[in-house]
Amino acid sequence: MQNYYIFLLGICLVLLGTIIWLLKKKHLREKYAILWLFIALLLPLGFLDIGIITTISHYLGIIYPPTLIFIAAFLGLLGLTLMLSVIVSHQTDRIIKLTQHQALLEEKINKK
Amino acid sequence: MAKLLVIVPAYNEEKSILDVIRNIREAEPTADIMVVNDCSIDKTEEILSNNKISHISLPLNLGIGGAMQTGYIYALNNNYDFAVQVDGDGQHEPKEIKKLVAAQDREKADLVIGSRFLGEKSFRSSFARRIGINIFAFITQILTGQRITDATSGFRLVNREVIALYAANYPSDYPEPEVIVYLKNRGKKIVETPVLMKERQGGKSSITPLKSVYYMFKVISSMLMQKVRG
Repeated sequence: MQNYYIFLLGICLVLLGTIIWLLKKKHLREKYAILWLFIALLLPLGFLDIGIITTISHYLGIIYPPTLIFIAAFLGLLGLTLMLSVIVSHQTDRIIKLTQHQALLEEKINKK
Repeated sequence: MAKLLVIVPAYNEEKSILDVIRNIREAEPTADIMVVNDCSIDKTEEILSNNKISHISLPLNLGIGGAMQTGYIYALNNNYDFAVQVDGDGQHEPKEIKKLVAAQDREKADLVIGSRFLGEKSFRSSFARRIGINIFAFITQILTGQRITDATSGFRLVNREVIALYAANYPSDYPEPEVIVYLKNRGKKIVETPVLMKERQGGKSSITPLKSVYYMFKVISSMLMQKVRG
């Protein structure tokens, strides 16, 4: 086995271990954990079979095949960041609503 | 008789809040006042409680949009016909509320904006500021088809219909110019009336030319996004 594969396998195992640890410590909700587990398991598949990457690169007209890996990773992270921005916006709206509701309720109680 | 609520958003206004409340009571004795304390870190809360001034205390700082929306939800829940925003820093003159009410009565408008830049005794401002004001007015005209001279003025009155709209949806970042687009998209009638406003009460303005340009960029992009949202 080439050092390259051992290195990749190591990264995947560390990522898997971190996700499981975060899950156990309740720092990561199941909903997001599934996504990360999926990424961790998918990661080696993309790297292991160089043949596929060369074929796709050739089809897309990319001269240097490893560039495809970087493009795929970049697009994946871009999508993930956008998704997280959507989640943050949603959470912000919920926090605002909750804060307002609590304050209005407190005012009602104090008035009585 | 129509029920009027004066909403006073306040963030760290320990120096001015009592004067503001006193002036509102003198100018509009029949109106109700509700201060929304936006999680001030000075003695605003203590002053409001000690003087038995009706107030809502937000446990987190929500900014002007979130604070004002809280006031509008209160107005909706308590069946007010009209709501006026008077800032807690003393910039808005409570005795000018009458002009907003009169304009609403005359024009049957959904939103009345108190403009610093209309009328003879308009607000004195620098050349750079006037350029900024004109850019805002131009953008507002393009987006809404109506010329609004003071899109960022917070001194404004809304009717029951708009109170309900605001309670359901009120922008958080730059609400004043954004709601103009929001209301025009919904076919609401907006009018402006000249009012007098005070210059800043205390402290120095922290706005530098660079910050002004950045502010304008952010406000205009927020208005554009509001237009896209519909």
